[in-house]
Amino acid sequence: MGEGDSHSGLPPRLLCSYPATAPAMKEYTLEELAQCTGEDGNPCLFCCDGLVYDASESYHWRKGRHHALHRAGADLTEELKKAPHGAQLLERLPVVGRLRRG
Amino acid sequence: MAKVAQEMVKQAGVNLDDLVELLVSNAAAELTTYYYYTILRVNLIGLEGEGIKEIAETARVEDRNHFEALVPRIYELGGELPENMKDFHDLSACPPASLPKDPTDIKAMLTVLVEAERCAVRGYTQICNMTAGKDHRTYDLAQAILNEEIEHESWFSEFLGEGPSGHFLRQGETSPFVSKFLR
Repeated sequence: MGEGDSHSGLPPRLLCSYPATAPAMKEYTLEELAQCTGEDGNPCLFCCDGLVYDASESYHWRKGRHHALHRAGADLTEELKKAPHGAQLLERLPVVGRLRRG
Repeated sequence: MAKVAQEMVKQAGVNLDDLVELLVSNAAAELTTYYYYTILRVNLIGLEGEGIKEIAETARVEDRNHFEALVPRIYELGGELPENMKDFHDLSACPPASLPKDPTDIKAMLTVLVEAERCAVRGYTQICNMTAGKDHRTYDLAQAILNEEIEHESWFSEFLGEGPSGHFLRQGETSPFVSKFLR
């Protein structure tokens, strides 16, 4: 996503959309990511170690929730450190962008 | 209602709603896996399949035992099972252990089996981590189930050529760890 892009006023569905064949990785702010909760038709996205993953098609992320404890739409880097599985399971999910800090 | 038992768990800092949700979704995983393993087991035939049938059957029966053992704890903690069986199936903590398109592909069969067990190992590890030192009864139960799930995983992974498991197939009764919750 370029510097000039503005999301103000866009409905969440559009805010969370991304081109399937994006030439460069989209950048998400935490605010944009927070809209992508996997509910109400929005994609189910979360961030880990700066990368944004799309779990919309994952059985383990139905309705934007993962095993009762984790919610999509957030940076879950710290939560993953406490998970009973390692980061290798994230390799099963498509990376759709990066988290833009600041 | 196990009122004091619930209070103790809450006072120890466990989110009771999250815990009950995890227990119900894992109970769903156990019962659905029991069902799907039934289909896998009857299709484990031929020279290769017959060699795996016995451990698949043991894992199948023990998964049903896990379901039976989990249910009382869910109700003790104030939870309940969904009224509708389809709802229960759909909230399973693990994906369906569906029969591969080619049931004669033994590697595909083993992959389904080992992935189901690995999902269970992760799930009970999570419950153990959540309850350790806080909810002693749930921890004891989850740890007992975890012991059996780890053995199931090791049986199937050995057949997949991932190295020796150090285990032998079950001798005597099923569910050596969980049976105390079934009496």
